[in-house]
Amino acid sequence: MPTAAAKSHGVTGDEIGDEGLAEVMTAYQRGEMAAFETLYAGFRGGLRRYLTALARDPAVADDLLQETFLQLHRVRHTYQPPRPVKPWVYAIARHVFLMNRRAAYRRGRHETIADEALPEVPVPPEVESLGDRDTVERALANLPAARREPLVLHHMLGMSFKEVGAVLGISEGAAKVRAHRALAEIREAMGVKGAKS
Amino acid sequence: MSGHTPLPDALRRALEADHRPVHALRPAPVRALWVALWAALALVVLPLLIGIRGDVAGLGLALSWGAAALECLAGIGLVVLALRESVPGCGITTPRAAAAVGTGVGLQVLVAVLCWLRCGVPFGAFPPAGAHCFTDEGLLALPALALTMLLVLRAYAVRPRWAGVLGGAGAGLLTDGVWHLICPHAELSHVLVWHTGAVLTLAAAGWVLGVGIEALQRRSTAR
Repeated sequence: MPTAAAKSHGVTGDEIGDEGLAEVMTAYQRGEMAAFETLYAGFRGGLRRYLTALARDPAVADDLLQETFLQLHRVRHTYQPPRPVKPWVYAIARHVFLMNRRAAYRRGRHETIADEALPEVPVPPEVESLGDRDTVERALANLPAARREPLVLHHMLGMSFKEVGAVLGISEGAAKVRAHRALAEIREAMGVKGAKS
Repeated sequence: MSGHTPLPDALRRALEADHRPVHALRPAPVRALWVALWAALALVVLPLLIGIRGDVAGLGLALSWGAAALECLAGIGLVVLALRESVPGCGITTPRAAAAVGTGVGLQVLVAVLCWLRCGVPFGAFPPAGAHCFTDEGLLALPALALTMLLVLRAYAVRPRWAGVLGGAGAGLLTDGVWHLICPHAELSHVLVWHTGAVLTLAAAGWVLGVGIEALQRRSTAR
Protein backbone atom coordinates (compact mmCIF):
# COMPACT_ATOMS: atom_id res chain seq x y z
CA MET A 1 0.00 0.00 0.00
CA PRO A 2 1.53 3.33 -1.00
CA THR A 3 2.57 5.58 1.82
CA ALA A 4 1.18 9.07 2.25
CA ALA A 5 4.48 10.53 1.11
CA ALA A 6 4.66 8.22 -1.87
CA LYS A 7 1.32 9.54 -3.01
CA SER A 8 2.87 12.94 -3.65
CA HIS A 9 3.01 13.87 -7.30
CA GLY A 10 5.65 16.05 -8.90
CA VAL A 11 6.98 17.33 -5.60
CA THR A 12 10.52 18.35 -4.72
CA GLY A 13 12.59 16.85 -1.91
CA ASP A 14 12.11 20.06 0.05
CA GLU A 15 8.34 19.95 -0.32
CA ILE A 16 8.06 16.42 1.07
CA GLY A 17 10.10 17.25 4.15
CA ASP A 18 12.62 15.12 6.04
CA GLU A 19 10.10 12.78 7.67
CA GLY A 20 8.21 12.27 4.43
CA LEU A 21 11.45 11.54 2.57
CA ALA A 22 12.46 8.99 5.17
CA GLU A 23 9.06 7.36 4.74
CA VAL A 24 9.45 7.31 0.95
CA MET A 25 12.95 5.83 1.27
CA THR A 26 11.65 3.09 3.55
CA ALA A 27 8.93 2.29 1.02
CA TYR A 28 11.59 2.21 -1.71
CA GLN A 29 13.68 -0.23 0.34
CA ARG A 30 10.56 -2.41 0.63
CA GLY A 31 10.57 -2.63 -3.15
CA GLU A 32 7.90 -0.08 -4.08
CA MET A 33 8.78 1.27 -7.53
CA ALA A 34 6.42 4.20 -7.00
CA ALA A 35 8.54 5.38 -4.11
CA PHE A 36 11.60 5.54 -6.36
CA GLU A 37 9.67 7.61 -8.86
CA THR A 38 8.70 10.02 -6.08
CA LEU A 39 12.35 10.29 -5.08
CA TYR A 40 13.34 10.80 -8.70
CA ALA A 41 10.79 13.56 -9.13
CA GLY A 42 11.79 15.14 -5.83
CA PHE A 43 15.55 15.13 -6.28
CA ARG A 44 16.06 15.37 -10.03
CA GLY A 45 16.04 19.16 -10.25
CA GLY A 46 18.23 19.81 -7.21
CA LEU A 47 20.70 17.10 -8.10
CA ARG A 48 21.00 18.34 -11.64
CA ARG A 49 21.78 21.86 -10.44
CA TYR A 50 24.31 20.52 -7.95
CA LEU A 51 25.98 18.28 -10.52
CA THR A 52 26.05 21.14 -13.03
CA ALA A 53 27.79 23.29 -10.42
CA LEU A 54 30.35 20.50 -9.90
CA ALA A 55 30.88 19.43 -13.50
CA ARG A 56 30.35 22.89 -15.04
CA ASP A 57 28.87 21.22 -18.09
CA PRO A 58 25.13 20.49 -18.40
CA ALA A 59 25.68 17.52 -20.73
CA VAL A 60 28.09 15.87 -18.29
CA ALA A 61 25.71 16.75 -15.43
CA ASP A 62 22.88 14.90 -17.20
CA ASP A 63 25.02 11.76 -17.51
CA LEU A 64 26.09 12.06 -13.89
CA LEU A 65 22.48 12.53 -12.83
CA GLN A 66 21.50 9.23 -14.37
CA GLU A 67 24.56 7.53 -12.89
CA THR A 68 23.70 8.99 -9.49
CA PHE A 69 20.20 7.50 -9.57
CA LEU A 70 21.64 4.16 -10.69
CA GLN A 71 24.04 4.23 -7.74
CA LEU A 72 21.23 5.26 -5.39
CA HIS A 73 19.36 2.21 -6.58
CA ARG A 74 22.36 -0.12 -6.19
CA VAL A 75 23.17 1.07 -2.67
CA ARG A 76 19.62 1.73 -1.45
CA HIS A 77 20.28 -0.62 1.46
CA THR A 78 22.82 1.86 2.89
CA TYR A 79 20.12 4.36 3.78
CA GLN A 80 19.38 3.96 7.50
CA PRO A 81 15.97 5.26 8.54
CA PRO A 82 15.18 7.64 10.13
CA ARG A 83 18.37 9.52 9.18
CA PRO A 84 17.88 12.53 6.89
CA VAL A 85 17.68 11.47 3.24
CA LYS A 86 19.12 14.60 1.63
CA PRO A 87 22.72 14.28 2.91
CA TRP A 88 22.69 10.60 1.88
CA VAL A 89 21.51 11.42 -1.65
CA TYR A 90 23.85 14.36 -2.20
CA ALA A 91 26.86 12.55 -0.70
CA ILE A 92 26.31 9.77 -3.26
CA ALA A 93 25.94 12.32 -6.08
CA ARG A 94 29.18 14.00 -5.07
CA HIS A 95 30.96 10.66 -4.92
CA VAL A 96 29.68 9.71 -8.36
CA PHE A 97 31.07 13.00 -9.68
CA LEU A 98 34.45 12.46 -8.00
CA MET A 99 34.73 8.85 -9.21
CA ASN A 100 33.81 9.90 -12.71
CA ARG A 101 36.37 12.70 -12.70
CA ARG A 102 39.10 10.36 -11.44
CA ALA A 103 38.18 7.71 -14.01
CA ALA A 104 38.34 10.31 -16.77
CA TYR A 105 41.67 11.59 -15.46
CA ARG A 106 43.11 8.08 -15.43
CA ARG A 107 41.94 7.50 -18.97
CA GLY A 108 43.79 10.64 -19.97
CA ARG A 109 40.62 12.38 -20.95
CA HIS A 110 40.96 15.03 -18.27
CA GLU A 111 40.18 18.24 -19.99
CA THR A 112 40.90 21.65 -18.63
CA ILE A 113 37.74 23.67 -18.88
CA ALA A 114 38.31 26.77 -20.89
CA ASP A 115 37.22 30.08 -19.43
CA GLU A 116 34.58 30.41 -22.12
CA ALA A 117 32.97 27.19 -20.89
CA LEU A 118 32.84 28.23 -17.25
CA PRO A 119 29.58 30.19 -17.06
CA GLU A 120 27.34 27.14 -16.83
CA VAL A 121 27.21 27.15 -13.06
CA PRO A 122 23.74 27.64 -11.58
CA VAL A 123 23.51 30.87 -9.63
CA PRO A 124 22.14 31.00 -6.06
CA PRO A 125 19.52 33.75 -5.53
CA GLU A 126 21.74 35.50 -2.94
CA VAL A 127 24.34 36.37 -5.56
CA GLU A 128 22.05 36.77 -8.54
CA SER A 129 21.32 40.41 -7.73
CA LEU A 130 24.98 41.42 -7.44
CA GLY A 131 25.43 42.17 -11.11
CA ASP A 132 24.62 41.02 -14.61
CA ARG A 133 24.11 37.26 -14.90
CA ASP A 134 27.18 36.57 -17.06
CA THR A 135 29.55 38.28 -14.64
CA VAL A 136 27.98 36.60 -11.62
CA GLU A 137 28.17 33.19 -13.29
CA ARG A 138 31.80 33.77 -14.20
CA ALA A 139 32.67 34.86 -10.63
CA LEU A 140 30.89 31.79 -9.26
CA ALA A 141 32.56 29.46 -11.74
CA ASN A 142 35.98 30.85 -10.83
CA LEU A 143 35.52 30.00 -7.14
CA PRO A 144 37.47 26.97 -5.94
CA ALA A 145 35.18 23.92 -5.69
CA ALA A 146 35.76 23.72 -1.92
CA ARG A 147 33.99 27.07 -1.48
CA ARG A 148 31.55 26.86 -4.37
CA GLU A 149 29.98 23.62 -3.12
CA PRO A 150 28.82 24.85 0.32
CA LEU A 151 27.48 28.01 -1.33
CA VAL A 152 25.45 26.03 -3.87
CA LEU A 153 24.21 23.46 -1.34
CA HIS A 154 23.14 26.03 1.23
CA HIS A 155 22.04 29.06 -0.75
CA MET A 156 20.68 27.34 -3.84
CA LEU A 157 19.44 23.99 -2.57
CA GLY A 158 18.38 25.24 0.84
CA MET A 159 20.30 22.71 2.92
CA SER A 160 21.18 23.48 6.50
CA PHE A 161 24.89 23.86 7.23
CA LYS A 162 24.71 20.63 9.23
CA GLU A 163 23.46 18.82 6.13
CA VAL A 164 26.08 20.56 3.97
CA GLY A 165 28.76 19.35 6.39
CA ALA A 166 27.42 15.79 6.19
CA VAL A 167 27.51 15.85 2.38
CA LEU A 168 31.02 17.27 2.18
CA GLY A 169 32.52 15.42 5.16
CA ILE A 170 33.34 18.65 6.97
CA SER A 171 32.05 20.21 10.19
CA GLU A 172 28.99 22.46 10.28
CA GLY A 173 31.23 25.40 11.24
CA ALA A 174 33.61 24.76 8.35
CA ALA A 175 30.67 24.63 5.92
CA LYS A 176 29.41 27.97 7.25
CA VAL A 177 32.85 29.61 6.97
CA ARG A 178 33.40 28.33 3.42
CA ALA A 179 29.99 29.52 2.21
CA HIS A 180 30.53 32.92 3.86
CA ARG A 181 33.98 33.28 2.26
CA ALA A 182 32.57 32.27 -1.12
CA LEU A 183 29.91 34.98 -0.90
CA ALA A 184 32.52 37.54 0.17
CA GLU A 185 34.78 36.54 -2.74
CA ILE A 186 31.95 36.90 -5.23
CA ARG A 187 31.01 40.29 -3.81
CA GLU A 188 34.64 41.33 -4.03
CA ALA A 189 34.90 40.10 -7.61
CA MET A 190 31.75 42.07 -8.44
CA GLY A 191 33.16 45.16 -6.77
CA VAL A 192 30.33 45.30 -4.24
CA LYS A 193 31.06 47.66 -1.32
CA GLY A 194 31.68 46.08 2.08
CA ALA A 195 32.73 42.82 0.51
CA LYS A 196 35.59 42.35 2.98
CA SER A 197 33.50 43.03 6.07
CA MET B 1 3.50 7.67 -9.68
CA SER B 2 5.01 10.88 -10.86
CA GLY B 3 3.76 10.77 -14.37
CA HIS B 4 5.11 14.28 -14.89
CA THR B 5 8.70 13.05 -14.64
CA PRO B 6 9.22 9.92 -16.73
CA LEU B 7 12.26 7.85 -15.83
CA PRO B 8 15.01 7.53 -18.44
CA ASP B 9 14.99 4.13 -20.14
CA ALA B 10 18.29 2.89 -18.71
CA LEU B 11 17.15 3.77 -15.23
CA ARG B 12 13.79 2.11 -15.70
CA ARG B 13 15.47 -1.05 -17.02
CA ALA B 14 17.83 -1.16 -14.01
CA LEU B 15 14.89 -0.76 -11.66
CA GLU B 16 12.84 -3.40 -13.38
CA ALA B 17 15.77 -5.81 -13.36
CA ASP B 18 16.11 -5.53 -9.61
CA HIS B 19 13.50 -4.01 -7.38
CA ARG B 20 13.53 -6.66 -4.67
CA PRO B 21 13.07 -5.47 -1.12
CA VAL B 22 16.32 -4.79 0.74
CA HIS B 23 17.11 -4.57 4.43
CA ALA B 24 18.57 -1.28 5.57
CA LEU B 25 22.09 -1.58 6.96
CA ARG B 26 22.10 -1.97 10.70
CA PRO B 27 23.70 0.80 12.75
CA ALA B 28 27.51 0.75 12.81
CA PRO B 29 27.82 -0.40 16.46
CA VAL B 30 25.60 -3.41 15.68
CA ARG B 31 27.61 -4.32 12.57
CA ALA B 32 30.83 -3.94 14.58
CA LEU B 33 29.62 -6.71 16.88
CA TRP B 34 31.00 -9.26 14.40
CA VAL B 35 34.48 -7.84 14.88
CA ALA B 36 33.91 -7.53 18.64
CA LEU B 37 32.96 -11.20 18.73
CA TRP B 38 36.23 -12.12 17.03
CA ALA B 39 38.15 -9.94 19.53
CA ALA B 40 36.37 -11.46 22.53
CA LEU B 41 37.13 -14.94 21.24
CA ALA B 42 40.79 -14.08 20.64
CA LEU B 43 41.04 -12.44 24.06
CA VAL B 44 39.86 -15.61 25.76
CA VAL B 45 41.32 -18.33 23.54
CA LEU B 46 44.81 -17.04 22.62
CA PRO B 47 46.14 -16.41 26.15
CA LEU B 48 44.91 -19.89 27.04
CA LEU B 49 46.52 -21.49 23.98
CA ILE B 50 49.83 -19.62 23.93
CA GLY B 51 50.10 -18.71 27.59
CA ILE B 52 49.92 -15.41 29.44
CA ARG B 53 53.07 -13.26 29.85
CA GLY B 54 55.12 -14.06 32.91
CA ASP B 55 54.99 -10.63 34.54
CA VAL B 56 51.19 -10.38 34.80
CA ALA B 57 51.31 -10.47 38.59
CA GLY B 58 53.82 -7.61 38.62
CA LEU B 59 51.73 -5.53 36.23
CA GLY B 60 48.57 -5.90 38.26
CA LEU B 61 45.04 -6.36 37.04
CA ALA B 62 44.65 -2.81 35.69
CA LEU B 63 47.80 -2.84 33.53
CA SER B 64 47.31 -6.40 32.28
CA TRP B 65 43.67 -7.39 31.68
CA GLY B 66 42.41 -3.81 32.18
CA ALA B 67 44.80 -2.34 29.61
CA ALA B 68 44.05 -5.19 27.19
CA ALA B 69 40.30 -4.62 27.50
CA LEU B 70 40.76 -0.86 27.10
CA GLU B 71 42.80 -1.29 23.91
CA CYS B 72 40.19 -3.71 22.56
CA LEU B 73 37.40 -1.23 23.31
CA ALA B 74 39.33 1.56 21.61
CA GLY B 75 39.85 -0.74 18.63
CA ILE B 76 36.13 -1.49 18.46
CA GLY B 77 35.47 2.26 18.62
CA LEU B 78 37.68 2.80 15.57
CA VAL B 79 35.95 -0.04 13.72
CA VAL B 80 32.58 1.59 14.50
CA LEU B 81 33.87 4.86 13.03
CA ALA B 82 35.09 2.98 9.93
CA LEU B 83 31.64 1.44 9.48
CA ARG B 84 29.95 4.81 9.98
CA GLU B 85 32.29 6.21 7.35
CA SER B 86 31.03 3.57 4.94
CA VAL B 87 27.50 5.04 4.92
CA PRO B 88 27.09 8.12 2.66
CA GLY B 89 26.50 11.32 4.62
CA CYS B 90 27.34 9.72 8.00
CA GLY B 91 31.12 9.98 8.14
CA ILE B 92 33.13 12.08 10.55
CA THR B 93 35.32 14.96 9.40
CA THR B 94 38.91 14.30 8.35
CA PRO B 95 40.47 16.06 11.40
CA ARG B 96 38.24 14.00 13.72
CA ALA B 97 39.14 10.77 11.93
CA ALA B 98 42.85 11.63 12.22
CA ALA B 99 42.36 12.53 15.90
CA ALA B 100 40.56 9.23 16.53
CA VAL B 101 43.42 7.22 15.00
CA GLY B 102 45.96 9.36 16.89
CA THR B 103 44.12 8.81 20.18
CA GLY B 104 44.05 5.05 19.61
CA VAL B 105 47.77 4.89 18.88
CA GLY B 106 48.41 7.28 21.80
CA LEU B 107 46.53 4.93 24.12
CA GLN B 108 48.64 2.01 22.98
CA VAL B 109 51.85 3.99 23.60
CA LEU B 110 50.56 5.11 27.01
CA VAL B 111 49.90 1.49 28.03
CA ALA B 112 53.40 0.57 26.83
CA VAL B 113 55.04 3.38 28.84
CA LEU B 114 53.05 2.59 32.01
CA CYS B 115 53.90 -1.11 31.77
CA TRP B 116 57.56 -0.33 31.14
CA LEU B 117 57.66 1.98 34.18
CA ARG B 118 55.91 -0.63 36.34
CA CYS B 119 58.21 -3.46 35.26
CA GLY B 120 61.38 -1.41 35.70
CA VAL B 121 63.16 -3.08 32.77
CA PRO B 122 65.75 -1.30 30.55
CA PHE B 123 64.57 0.81 27.59
CA GLY B 124 65.97 -1.80 25.20
CA ALA B 125 68.28 -1.81 22.23
CA PHE B 126 67.72 -0.73 18.62
CA PRO B 127 66.75 -2.66 16.63
CA PRO B 128 64.81 -4.29 19.45
CA ALA B 129 64.53 -8.02 19.90
CA GLY B 130 61.31 -9.89 19.27
CA ALA B 131 60.58 -8.91 15.68
CA HIS B 132 58.22 -11.89 15.48
CA CYS B 133 55.67 -9.82 17.45
CA PHE B 134 55.26 -7.61 14.37
CA THR B 135 54.41 -10.50 12.09
CA ASP B 136 52.35 -12.34 14.72
CA GLU B 137 50.26 -9.26 15.44
CA GLY B 138 49.89 -8.54 11.75
CA LEU B 139 48.71 -12.08 10.97
CA LEU B 140 46.42 -12.14 13.98
CA ALA B 141 44.84 -8.85 12.88
CA LEU B 142 44.10 -10.04 9.36
CA PRO B 143 40.70 -11.62 10.15
CA ALA B 144 39.56 -8.47 11.97
CA LEU B 145 40.81 -6.26 9.14
CA ALA B 146 39.26 -8.47 6.46
CA LEU B 147 35.94 -8.57 8.32
CA THR B 148 35.91 -4.80 8.78
CA MET B 149 36.73 -4.12 5.14
CA LEU B 150 34.10 -6.61 3.99
CA LEU B 151 31.54 -4.70 6.03
CA VAL B 152 32.82 -1.44 4.51
CA LEU B 153 32.61 -2.95 1.02
CA ARG B 154 29.04 -4.11 1.64
CA ALA B 155 28.07 -0.49 2.29
CA TYR B 156 29.15 2.43 0.09
CA ALA B 157 32.01 4.44 1.54
CA VAL B 158 32.36 7.84 -0.05
CA ARG B 159 35.83 8.12 1.52
CA PRO B 160 37.00 4.48 1.41
CA ARG B 161 40.62 5.39 2.18
CA TRP B 162 39.65 6.93 5.51
CA ALA B 163 37.30 4.04 6.25
CA GLY B 164 40.30 1.78 5.60
CA VAL B 165 42.64 3.72 7.87
CA LEU B 166 40.10 3.69 10.70
CA GLY B 167 39.35 0.01 10.16
CA GLY B 168 43.05 -0.91 9.92
CA ALA B 169 44.01 1.01 13.05
CA GLY B 170 40.99 -0.48 14.84
CA ALA B 171 41.95 -4.03 13.87
CA GLY B 172 45.54 -3.31 14.92
CA LEU B 173 44.53 -1.93 18.30
CA LEU B 174 42.18 -4.85 18.93
CA THR B 175 44.96 -7.29 18.18
CA ASP B 176 47.49 -5.39 20.25
CA GLY B 177 45.08 -5.56 23.18
CA VAL B 178 45.11 -9.36 22.91
CA TRP B 179 48.84 -9.57 22.21
CA HIS B 180 49.58 -7.34 25.21
CA LEU B 181 48.57 -10.30 27.43
CA ILE B 182 50.88 -12.69 25.60
CA CYS B 183 54.07 -10.83 24.63
CA PRO B 184 56.76 -11.29 27.31
CA HIS B 185 58.80 -8.22 26.21
CA ALA B 186 58.25 -5.15 28.39
CA GLU B 187 61.16 -3.07 27.01
CA LEU B 188 59.79 0.16 25.62
CA SER B 189 61.86 -0.02 22.43
CA HIS B 190 60.31 -3.41 21.60
CA VAL B 191 56.73 -2.25 22.11
CA LEU B 192 57.20 1.06 20.29
CA VAL B 193 58.89 -0.49 17.26
CA TRP B 194 57.14 -3.85 16.82
CA HIS B 195 53.74 -3.33 18.45
CA THR B 196 53.04 0.32 17.58
CA GLY B 197 54.68 -0.36 14.21
CA ALA B 198 52.21 -3.19 13.62
CA VAL B 199 49.23 -0.95 14.44
CA LEU B 200 50.50 1.77 12.08
CA THR B 201 51.25 -0.77 9.35
CA LEU B 202 47.73 -2.15 9.64
CA ALA B 203 46.34 1.39 9.35
CA ALA B 204 48.44 1.79 6.19
CA ALA B 205 47.17 -1.57 4.92
CA GLY B 206 43.62 -0.30 5.52
CA TRP B 207 44.43 2.76 3.41
CA VAL B 208 45.67 0.52 0.59
CA LEU B 209 42.52 -1.62 0.79
CA GLY B 210 40.51 1.62 0.71
CA VAL B 211 42.30 2.57 -2.51
CA GLY B 212 41.28 -0.83 -3.88
CA ILE B 213 37.64 -0.27 -2.92
CA GLU B 214 37.80 3.14 -4.56
CA ALA B 215 39.13 1.56 -7.75
CA LEU B 216 36.20 -0.89 -7.76
CA GLN B 217 33.76 1.99 -7.27
CA ARG B 218 35.46 3.97 -10.04
CA ARG B 219 35.18 1.03 -12.38
CA SER B 220 31.48 0.64 -11.67
CA THR B 221 30.88 4.38 -12.11
CA ALA B 222 33.01 4.90 -15.24
CA ARG B 223 30.91 5.43 -18.30
